[in-house]
Amino acid sequence: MSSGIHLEFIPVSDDDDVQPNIFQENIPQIVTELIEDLAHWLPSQGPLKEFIHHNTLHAYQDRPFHAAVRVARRMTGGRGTLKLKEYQELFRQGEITERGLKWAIAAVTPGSLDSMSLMQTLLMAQEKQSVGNPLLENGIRAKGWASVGIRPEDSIHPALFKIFSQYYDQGIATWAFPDTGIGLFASVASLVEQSWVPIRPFHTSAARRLLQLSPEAAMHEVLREWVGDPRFYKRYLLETALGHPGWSGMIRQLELQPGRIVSARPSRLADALALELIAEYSLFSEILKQSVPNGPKLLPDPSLDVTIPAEVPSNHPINQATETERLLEIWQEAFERSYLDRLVRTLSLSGGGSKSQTPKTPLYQTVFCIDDRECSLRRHLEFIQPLGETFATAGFFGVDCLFQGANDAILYKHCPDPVRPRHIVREVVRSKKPGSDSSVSHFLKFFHFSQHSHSLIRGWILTQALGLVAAFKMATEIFLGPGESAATLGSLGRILPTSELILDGNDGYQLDEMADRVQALLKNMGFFRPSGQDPRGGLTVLFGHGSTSANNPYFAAYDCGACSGKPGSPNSRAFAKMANDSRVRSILESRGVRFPDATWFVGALHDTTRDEVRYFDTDLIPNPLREVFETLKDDMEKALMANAKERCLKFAQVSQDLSPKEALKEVRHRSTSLFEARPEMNHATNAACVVGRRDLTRGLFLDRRAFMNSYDPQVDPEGTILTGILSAVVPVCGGISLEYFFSRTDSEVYGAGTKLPHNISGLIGVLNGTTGDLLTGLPTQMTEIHPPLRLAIFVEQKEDIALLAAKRNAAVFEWIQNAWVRYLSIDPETGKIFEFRGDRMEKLT
Amino acid sequence: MNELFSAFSLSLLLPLLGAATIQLLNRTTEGTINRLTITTILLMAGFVILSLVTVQPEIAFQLFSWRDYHFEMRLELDGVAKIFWALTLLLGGIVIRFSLIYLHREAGYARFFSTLFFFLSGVMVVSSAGNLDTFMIGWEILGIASFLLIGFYRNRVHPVRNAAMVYSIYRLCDLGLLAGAYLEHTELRGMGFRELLGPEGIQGLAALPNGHLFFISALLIFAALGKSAQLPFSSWLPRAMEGPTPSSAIFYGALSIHAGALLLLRSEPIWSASAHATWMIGILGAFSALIASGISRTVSNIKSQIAYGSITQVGIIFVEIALGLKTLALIHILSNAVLRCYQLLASPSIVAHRLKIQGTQKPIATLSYPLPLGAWGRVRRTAYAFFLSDAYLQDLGRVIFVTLPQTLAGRATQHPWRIYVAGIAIFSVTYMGWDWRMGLAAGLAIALSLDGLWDATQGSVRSGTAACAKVFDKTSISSLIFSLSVACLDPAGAATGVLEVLPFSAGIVFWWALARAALAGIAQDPWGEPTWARFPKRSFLVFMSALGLGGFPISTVFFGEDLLLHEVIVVRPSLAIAFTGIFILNGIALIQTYSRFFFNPPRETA
Repeated sequence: MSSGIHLEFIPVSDDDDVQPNIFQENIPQIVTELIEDLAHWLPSQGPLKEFIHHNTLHAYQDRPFHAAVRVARRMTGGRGTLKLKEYQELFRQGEITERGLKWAIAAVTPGSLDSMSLMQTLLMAQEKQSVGNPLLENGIRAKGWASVGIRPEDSIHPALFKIFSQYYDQGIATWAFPDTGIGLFASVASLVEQSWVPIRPFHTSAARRLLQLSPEAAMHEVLREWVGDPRFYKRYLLETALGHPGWSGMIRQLELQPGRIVSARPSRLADALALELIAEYSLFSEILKQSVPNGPKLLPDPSLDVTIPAEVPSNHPINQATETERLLEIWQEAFERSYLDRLVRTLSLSGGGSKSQTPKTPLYQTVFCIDDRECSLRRHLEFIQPLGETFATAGFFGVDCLFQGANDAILYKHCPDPVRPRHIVREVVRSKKPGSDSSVSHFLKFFHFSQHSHSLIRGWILTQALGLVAAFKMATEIFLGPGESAATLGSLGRILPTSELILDGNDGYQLDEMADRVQALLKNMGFFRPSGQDPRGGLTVLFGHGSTSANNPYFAAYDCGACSGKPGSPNSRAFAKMANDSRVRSILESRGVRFPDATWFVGALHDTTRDEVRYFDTDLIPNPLREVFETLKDDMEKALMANAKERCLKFAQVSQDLSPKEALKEVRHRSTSLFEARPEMNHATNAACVVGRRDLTRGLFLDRRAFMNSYDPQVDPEGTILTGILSAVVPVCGGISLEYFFSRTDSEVYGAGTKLPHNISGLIGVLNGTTGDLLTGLPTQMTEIHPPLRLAIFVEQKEDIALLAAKRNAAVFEWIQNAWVRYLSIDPETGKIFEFRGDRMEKLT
Repeated sequence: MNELFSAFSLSLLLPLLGAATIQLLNRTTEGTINRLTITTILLMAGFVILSLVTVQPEIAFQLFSWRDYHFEMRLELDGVAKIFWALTLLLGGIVIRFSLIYLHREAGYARFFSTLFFFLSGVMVVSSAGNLDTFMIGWEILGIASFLLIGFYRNRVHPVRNAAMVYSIYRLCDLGLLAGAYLEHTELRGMGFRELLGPEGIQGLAALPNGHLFFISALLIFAALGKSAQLPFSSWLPRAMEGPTPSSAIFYGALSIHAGALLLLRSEPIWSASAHATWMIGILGAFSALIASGISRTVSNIKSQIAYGSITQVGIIFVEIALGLKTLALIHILSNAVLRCYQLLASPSIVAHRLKIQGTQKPIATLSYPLPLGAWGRVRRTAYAFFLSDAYLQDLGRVIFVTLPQTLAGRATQHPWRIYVAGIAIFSVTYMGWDWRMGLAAGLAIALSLDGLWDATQGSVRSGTAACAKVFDKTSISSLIFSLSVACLDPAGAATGVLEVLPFSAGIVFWWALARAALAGIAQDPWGEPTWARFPKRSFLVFMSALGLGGFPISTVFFGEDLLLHEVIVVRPSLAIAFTGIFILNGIALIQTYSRFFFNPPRETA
């Protein structure tokens, strides 16, 4: 779009002193626009505090999947497929079927006459290992550095990263960066000016002078002096930013969403890039001083091709698929088709949901999150209690709030990322006995985390006095297993059992807003009896979910994605409170929603790591339902044990012969173990999503691979409810699916690599060792068993309504049209399955 | 002879045995390695505990002997050794228990435990060594094990580069220990630590001129400063945190960093006889503590913060040792070791912990302080900037290790013959009046060695087998020439002189031939898989050759070098320093070459 701005430039004359006026006036604008443009191609991962799964290649989402993978590869060097030999191995193992492979050949190269020889090539071809980021290696910046004879990773990055990390630090260093309030660039400039000792690489007079300018002006001056030709500016800035995608991306994220860190830090990508350009220039002018009298010049070859792959169409020569890439695309399609075939066959077993398996008068209802990890728990619960009925919906239960716990100083967002919450839910403690430690006992318990141990005198006293106690603590934690320690972050304690939620504060929900939310949720998940307008009655328990892990910087990625990486207990508890409120019920009644007399909702939390549950406000359950509640609790305990057993089968270091009870003990031990790099497998192996009635999937073994969202097609003839569901399900589940996908296909570029050498920087990010860039994506321990498959979304609806429902939301339809997810419909009456292909739904054969 | 089969000696042998077995079986399943590791550590625990609670005879035998030269292996389990052994067992056990699960499915699972056991044996040898020679063996093991574990992720750029860097600093500081040990040999007849404390030692020390005493002490202190990351070497410690977290915890948090303090404890009789040396330890320790605690305030990644916290305490330990507070220092070593080990093991939790605090309290006070303006504000900002710049230690290191050699060698190597002319000229002039052959040889040896080091730091080593072989040639030839020159100066006549250099020269030739044989037939593929993965056996052989050529105690080169120095020192002490220098330079060049050539991180841009 704005690549056109280059045309406005008048070619720079050889004489540096004569600058076209247009240049001077538009400096800030031009540089700002360049940066706005290139910021698009940076990773969009936020700080560790919350983990919001997103499509790693989000920036390329406006292109079809395979084209986007190719373009992204040319931009980042990351690969978006498995390796050829991995696919060939999958074929040998039967994970990729011959039928799937043939289908993929026909689909990718339609009308190919010679599919046999193509098949031969696919099976025999070898892939040359390609390495590095071509954009950077063949770029103009690399040439500049080579001419100086050093590398930015050695000379500039460590110093810059240290400044960035120190500036954004949220509580590791004991001395904060001075004057963070005035922004990154200004605070560095002020520190350089105020300090009597030099700060490398800002020690030269050139750097000091440039730091007096505005970031944009400084950048522009460096670009003019060093790069010279305006045609190369953008490419040069892009290469600079992509030289450390982790930090560039983080700074950009904090610029867009400053609220994602607790201690505020004004953040601008332009500041960071300006500092880097000044540092570079300072270093160059120091090194090249002798050889170039008027300051260093890069003098890029004017004929150099500086096309940015992401800014040209997918069919541009530089973005065309290579032979190997074409083979890889076929393999990926074949891999997905092979899985889809199996899944379709499995789903057909239920007869397309035509036979109802649900009990006519359910004993109780339970509601879970759509999360793939709840898929098996629902199955076990239904098996143990055939009279129970289970539902699933996004785990924030429609309560789009900011939450402040009794011990919290700040507000936490508890709803999906795209939602902007406007209501606040607060927790207050009823009895005056908060569970928090006194500061002395807290210190004694967690002294090993104390910053004082690093200082001189206090460190000496602390080390001498408590050092040997650490031996005892460490030995017990390692050999005997820790209890709840400082290292553990558990969801079960997120809200206190003795507390109360305040929903209707000044900034909370009005009664009719509560009614809206209750009504919407019940309607969305098909909670009304098919026969009439009335919702189900009796006891309904809503299980939010969270996790518990120790020594794990990725803890937030284990919690509920629909709550922005937090435990869902405040939401489930808040929903129950809304739905039980007699005032809300009478509003609902006036709207025609009449609950049966004995109807009660209970909020609860399922800890997916520990397979443990907590129920809230159980003392309020009316007497007639108490007995049912006790039954449910018993059933749940059994289901949790069975679920733990099923999960243990996937842990290689755990015996396959554990009894369910032992399995439960094992998973609980894992959750607090300091050295367990895999407290749970999380979303690994996720591959499908089913939006429909439970009848479609009840009794099927989906191997914890499917997200599920309850939906009743009969009450939604227009597909409007489906549109609503899809606008949450597609980005959330699709984001999870693709983040696992790309972290698995390239664990170094798109993923964070193995987590064993990870180090924490400023509480916001993770790096390897002590000098590198911030890492993005997921560590291999989370993704190693994940087969990279795009999510197959099944909706139970007539194909034309399903398509209509998807098209109604353009953002959702982009995912489907560009094949970032697969979209299939199951006819609620005939059970026929259609798949979205090209531009319409095609019947699957 | 039965002393060789005591619980004591078995405790020392077991980790070595375990390391070797695991390395040999590294292709088997994770389960096998797991069981082997557990067996080894349990057996080791049994023998160590037995050694700790019973009285163990000392182990002493002549490893090598030549006329009046003796290389004596001596190990004894005194109080200090027992404390270190208990610590090693405790932390070793904890870290192994931790890592057996933590490293699940990691490539290099076997390699990790093999290296860890190797390291543990090094710590045990160092702490129970009865004389400086034996101490040096353990010390070298620590260096090699560090190199291997920092470079654990050998396909990545930073770990490999930092491993080579840390090893180079270690090796440079070995200069102090090597030369110190040789001098101790000649001046104090190689007395063990116990004799030094006894009447014989007191006599011997008293007889030494003050200057000599200070010189030996300064060399030993130099070695201790490097190994314990004190000033001016501190900046290597955070850079060493590249391996899996548990390895960083036991190496750099806990055990390795206290090796320097141990050296000081052991050599106390020597340096405490010199007031200057004692002051030197105290002042450098205090400075290190001050500076490191300042730096720790301005680092915002948790592992660096713990590293500088640990350096601070080790600095204080140096002060305590200088003050003669041995018991306090020992307790301090123990408590610092376990605390830092624990902090590092739990370091990934820091987010959870601090966020809990941050979320439940007001923002941490120090994070929101506004610095005042004016003069005081400038002082505060200056302090901040000073520590933010690592107190310029890294810049100092860069000047010493990069800029200086590059300017020196680089200028000369643009015209390679110049370095030779210069080297030969300097030494010929120096020794002209005395023995021209000697000067020629020494000059040539030094020139070759420098040339080899220069080659080793060039990118061509990464991609060319020939370039790599050339470094092996140059370093080997430089060692050989030097040993020949020693043969020439032997006053007793050429024939015996040749015999004396034989162990050394034969060793050099052996390792050189092995390296060349292993290198032959390796075709480099600069953008493909790293060479070690394609040629694991050859890679291992070349590594052993590099160690052997560098004087690592696995062959006759180690004693031969000692013996040579013994001769040189008798005749011409100043040459001894030149020889040690060459040796160190060669060692650095070889390990740099090895890591560049074999680890060859595929993503590194050439």
